[in-house]
Amino acid sequence: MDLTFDEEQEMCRRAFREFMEKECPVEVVSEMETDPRGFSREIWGKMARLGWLDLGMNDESGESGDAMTTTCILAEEMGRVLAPVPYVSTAVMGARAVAVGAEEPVRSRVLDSVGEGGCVIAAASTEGSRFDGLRTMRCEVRKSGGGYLLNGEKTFVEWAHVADYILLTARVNGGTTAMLVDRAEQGVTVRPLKTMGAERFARVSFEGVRVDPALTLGNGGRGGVSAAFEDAVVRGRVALAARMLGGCDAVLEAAAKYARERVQFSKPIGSFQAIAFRLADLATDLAGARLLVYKAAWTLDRGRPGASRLAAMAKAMTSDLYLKATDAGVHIYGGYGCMLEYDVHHYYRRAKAEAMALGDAERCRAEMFGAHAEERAVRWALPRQVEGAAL
Amino acid sequence: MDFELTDAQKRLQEEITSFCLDGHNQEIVSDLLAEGDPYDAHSWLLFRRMAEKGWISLNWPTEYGGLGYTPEEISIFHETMAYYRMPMTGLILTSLVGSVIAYFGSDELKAEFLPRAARGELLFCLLYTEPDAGSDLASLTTRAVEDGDHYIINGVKIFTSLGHEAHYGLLAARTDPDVKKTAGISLFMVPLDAEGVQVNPIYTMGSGQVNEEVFTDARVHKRFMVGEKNNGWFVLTMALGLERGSISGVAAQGWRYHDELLEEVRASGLDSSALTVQKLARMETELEVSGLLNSRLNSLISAGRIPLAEAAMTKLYSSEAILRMAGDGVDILGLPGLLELNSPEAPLGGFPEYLYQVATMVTVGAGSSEIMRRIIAKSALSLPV
Ligand SMILES: Cc1cc2nc3c(=O)[nH]c(=O)nc-3n(C[C@H](O)[C@H](O)[C@H](O)COP(=O)(O)OP(=O)(O)OC[C@H]3O[C@@H](n4cnc5c(N)ncnc54)[C@H](O)[C@@H]3O)c2cc1C
Repeated sequence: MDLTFDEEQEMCRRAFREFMEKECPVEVVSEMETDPRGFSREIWGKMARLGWLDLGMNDESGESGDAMTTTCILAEEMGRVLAPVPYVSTAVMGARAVAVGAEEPVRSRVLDSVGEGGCVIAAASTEGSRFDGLRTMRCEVRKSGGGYLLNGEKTFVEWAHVADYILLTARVNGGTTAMLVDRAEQGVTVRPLKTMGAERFARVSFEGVRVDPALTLGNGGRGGVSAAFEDAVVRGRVALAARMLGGCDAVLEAAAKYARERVQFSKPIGSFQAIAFRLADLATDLAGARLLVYKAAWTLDRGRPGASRLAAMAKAMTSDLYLKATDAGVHIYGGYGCMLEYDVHHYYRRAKAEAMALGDAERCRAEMFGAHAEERAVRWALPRQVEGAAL
Repeated sequence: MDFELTDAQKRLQEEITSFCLDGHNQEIVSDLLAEGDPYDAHSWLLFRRMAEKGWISLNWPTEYGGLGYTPEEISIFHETMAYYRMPMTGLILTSLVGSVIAYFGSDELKAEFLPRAARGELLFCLLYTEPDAGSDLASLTTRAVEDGDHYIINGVKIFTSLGHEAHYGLLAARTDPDVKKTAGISLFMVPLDAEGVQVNPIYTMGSGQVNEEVFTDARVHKRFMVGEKNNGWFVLTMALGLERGSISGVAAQGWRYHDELLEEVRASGLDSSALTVQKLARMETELEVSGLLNSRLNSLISAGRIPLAEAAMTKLYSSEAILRMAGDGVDILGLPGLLELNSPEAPLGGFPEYLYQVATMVTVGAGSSEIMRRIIAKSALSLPV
């Protein structure tokens, strides 16, 4: 075992950090909250030119690269500055689903376009009030005349208003299938939803939308669930977890700095244990969560069993931690923490949606004993399983 | 990054596992279990068997019986032994004191103690804590006053694990009262059967025993001083770091508990409600993370670092995790989770109530959780606590 990053990975991290700090100062984050598009095409284009939008895709040759590990390093750095770009849904989930499920030439066309920054994909994983697995979808595809039509509604779809494609799953013939839907198709209606963290969510309805067979991503997965979408969810969770690590890191760093500098009762507030110990606990949990996230990424990179279980575990832990860290962050800044001119509110307001995306902590933990139970690593003994939730 | 054991490490794990599952050794463990304190109790027979494998001296320099294991391999040893509930306290203490002697002791001292200790003929304990010096160990008041070839010891030590079985204790005593607290401390190997040393039992939760040692003009020969005079604090800091490192076994105990709990939930058709699932999942996550933190600590040590904050994080996280899971386990089992160790109807052989009691001690011993948080706040976050 070697749980340290190698020289190349450290170099990547430095490059990502430098870029993000330069391109995404907090002013950009604030500006994008009211910008109609909500993300900076300029930053997106630069990321594409640096080759960062297809970092996660270079592992098709079968040889074990470290695509997911590098993706996580990038996601962490994006999380530190709250980079307003549709990265996870496009370059991680969308690209993955296409890589796994699409046929040529569509496959190359979409992936190339993602890599060049020419296309945005929104990942629609929710119907109703929360992510509820992939089996309970009500969106449905029916045969009609010579083709197939999609009906139904997805909720809280991030980036739908600017997306070229919407990645989703729908029921078909008793199973589910994943597909990309061109947002410009007749019958697609995108209605924006305004939320606490200024996330770009929308309710997207599909009324008799023509399904392009070339854009369907196959089913054939376990229990009829689309393997492409399931894979996208697993990778999406790991990337989101990494992004939350970055957010935690930024908040912890800022709060510790503030605690060293802010003086009350003639002492830095960081000399009070109620403050210092809260930060020490966060630093400890963050160190642990980071190892867990990178173990999940490594497991995906090596194609080892247990990845989706580790992804659920990592998403659960970082979701809990991000909420705890942002809460502590605001609190340690006291009144200033509540003021818009201080930055910590950005993290606080966004943490909740991050924590709930693709399954909140409780849902991910439930899946550990349902969907991913058979992946339980056998350390020494071999107990069997209890009931949990399906994916 | 690489999260996998090497083939050699896997073979080591297998070798240790087969030692643990050996029929004779299992019998000894059952007997200790029947006596009520399976982890902290001491079996001389098992101790000698472990010595034959070279495991008491495994982390000493090779010329004194060290096996040349990496920190990762030492952890594998601790974790595997702990998973199979081998009584490890005697080995950990003896091996720790042996390391201190190997690194800081005179040649004479090494020759006197290390070969016999490696053979399992000597048991050591730690005489640090005093009634008025616990977390603030540097304020200890036990005095050692030079008198010709000897030092004369006066004072009281408490909470000594295995003080009632040990031959020698590593004693921290004040040799210069006129300098700052940390500058006047020296270490000695003190025979516990010497005149002027009285050992009294103190009983703990979980049917365990620690001890109080009262020193009244006890004489210790000068050659038993470990390291230089008044340099004891430096050595102690290292020794405490080593002790916290061996905490890895703690998490492995937790894996056993978790595995058995899961089996029980399944087998007894016990409540596998959403809440139980949440608790089991959280337990597993925390155990996984404890293991990872420990592996990271080992990686850093292997790379030649002295990772103070990381050691404290590992100790803090894994001890608090065990404490939480001990309680969650009882919650999952309901009131039967409180049935005493070894009582016939008890689920998991009554281990939950035992673990619930000993887990809380893990968050105190070798530096309490608060002391760990102080170390982390200071050295990882530069906070002025
Ligand atoms: C089972 C067991 C076995 C042990 N075995 C040994 C042994 O073999 N040899 C040996 O020498 N010792 C041994 N100890 C002693 C152990 O190291 C001490 O108990 C421990 O260091 C705490 O000291 P204390 O008990 O005096 O508590 P105190 O130091 O009095 O602490 C009391 C409480 O105050 C908190 N506290 C103290 N200082 C601070 C601070 N600065 N900030 C915030 N909170 C603080 C502590 O965290 C704790 O919660 C053992 C203890 C136990 C429980």
